[in-house]
Amino acid sequence: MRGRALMGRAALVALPLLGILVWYLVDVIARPPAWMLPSPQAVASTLWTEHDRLWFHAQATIGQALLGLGLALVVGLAIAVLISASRAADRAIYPWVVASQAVPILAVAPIIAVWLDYGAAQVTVAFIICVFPVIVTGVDGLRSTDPALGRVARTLGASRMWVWRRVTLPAALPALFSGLRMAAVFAVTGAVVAEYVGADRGLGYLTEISTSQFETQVAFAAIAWLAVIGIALFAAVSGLERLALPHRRHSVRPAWRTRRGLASAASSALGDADAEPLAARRRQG
Amino acid sequence: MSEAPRIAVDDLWVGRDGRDGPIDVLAGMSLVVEPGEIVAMVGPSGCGKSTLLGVLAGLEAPSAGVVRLDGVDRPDRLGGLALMPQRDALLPWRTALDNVACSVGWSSARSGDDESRAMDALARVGLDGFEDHYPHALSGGMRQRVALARTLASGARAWLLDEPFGALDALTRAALHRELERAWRSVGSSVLLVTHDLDEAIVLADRVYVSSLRPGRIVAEVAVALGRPRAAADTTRPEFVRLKEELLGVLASTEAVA
Repeated sequence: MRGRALMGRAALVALPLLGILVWYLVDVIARPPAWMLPSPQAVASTLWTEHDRLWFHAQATIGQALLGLGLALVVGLAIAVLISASRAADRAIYPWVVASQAVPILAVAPIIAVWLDYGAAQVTVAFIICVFPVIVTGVDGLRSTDPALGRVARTLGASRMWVWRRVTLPAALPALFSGLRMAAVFAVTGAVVAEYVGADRGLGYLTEISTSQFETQVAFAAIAWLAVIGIALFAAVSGLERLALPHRRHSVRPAWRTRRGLASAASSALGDADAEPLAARRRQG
Repeated sequence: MSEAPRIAVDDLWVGRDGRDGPIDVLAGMSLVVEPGEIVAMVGPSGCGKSTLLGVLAGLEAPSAGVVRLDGVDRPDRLGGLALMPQRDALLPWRTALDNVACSVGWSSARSGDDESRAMDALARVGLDGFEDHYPHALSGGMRQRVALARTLASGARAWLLDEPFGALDALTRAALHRELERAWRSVGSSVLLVTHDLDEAIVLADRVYVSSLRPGRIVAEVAVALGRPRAAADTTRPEFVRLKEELLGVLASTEAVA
């Protein structure tokens, strides 16, 4: 059993190791100039010696990607709610959300860079890329609820709002998390694309500058950082999903989970009045 | 003892838009469920049984007709009659206890009282020890028990059961019949059970209505004068068989009409 687990771990890193090996062999055999292809050792040492500079630029990219992703979640979810709730919004907005994706973001990014300041432009481009998967999966998720769940809850005394918040919204979470995982990776891409066309910091900017100055090993190091950031964001969203949807991995309520649903914990934090007991409402009715 | 019926349905009409104009799903349906009574309704599939329950629960409005609860005309009765559907309709992201508790009350600071009521309901259907299980980890019969506990805990005095045991195997179904009878007896609720299983109707009900096929209308009413509790073994007793023959006869005639 332990041997198999070890094999699984080994399989995970086999492909990157193979890639590095090929890279190393090409470097040793063909001996390309360092500005064209730096050796793996050179990149590794750059990652170490230049880590202050890399971290400075990484912070900018991480900040922009996170901000873009956060905005996309809030705005995208609001639009998804609107589209799923209103037939008119569905007709008027949804086709254009889809059509907007036909415009290549690479073509739009320079214009956004002209309009907006450094930083704001990067956040905006990240937002534009991220908001699409959030809207599409949000709409699908909100429409995927089994109507029987809400009908039964209504006969037990639940209000329409209760059903929306505690049935429709939680039912949309699995789909929404799929969209968020995609958006998390796209967010980094969006920020970097916008850094190419106009920025004074960020890993995309660093890649651009160092390539033009024949510091190719720095560009490689920056790319390695970008990969790590993308993977970390993806993993963070997956981690959140595990916390929010424990029933997908557990048969029995895990110990870290209280006996109240996430939605209800969130609403109690907001201190809303809707959380009135159903039984109490029935007694009044 | 002149108590008003718990549920009284008077000349209920429900229409629906069909391909060739409006069609009647229910046409002049009238029935009564007395306090503390289990009434079954059997009929061919497509007789509008689920529509009837949706209207009774207050989820849909009828085209015409009156529904009285305890003698009072209640057009807005949503929340007064608990629905228990064939598929359990449990929320998959909530544990058994949390599924039951949401029909007891769900305040932001849930009181221990609510939780103990939910626990009590689970214990009454034989599910103590399973309160922290998610629905997917429970068998079909256990999930339906949770749904029964949720109905029980809701405090509603009238239950509408829509073929609740239709998807279960015969042994599990017989066990759940006993649980339902026990739960019903313990709170004295009034039950309208819609089913296509004649054995189930006779085992559980005090009276059985037979509905005609589209449009739905009551065509016969059969009283079940058998002692309680009834068991699966009773289905072979002569009185039981005679009732079943009677119901089969009525059903055969409704199909001839349709």
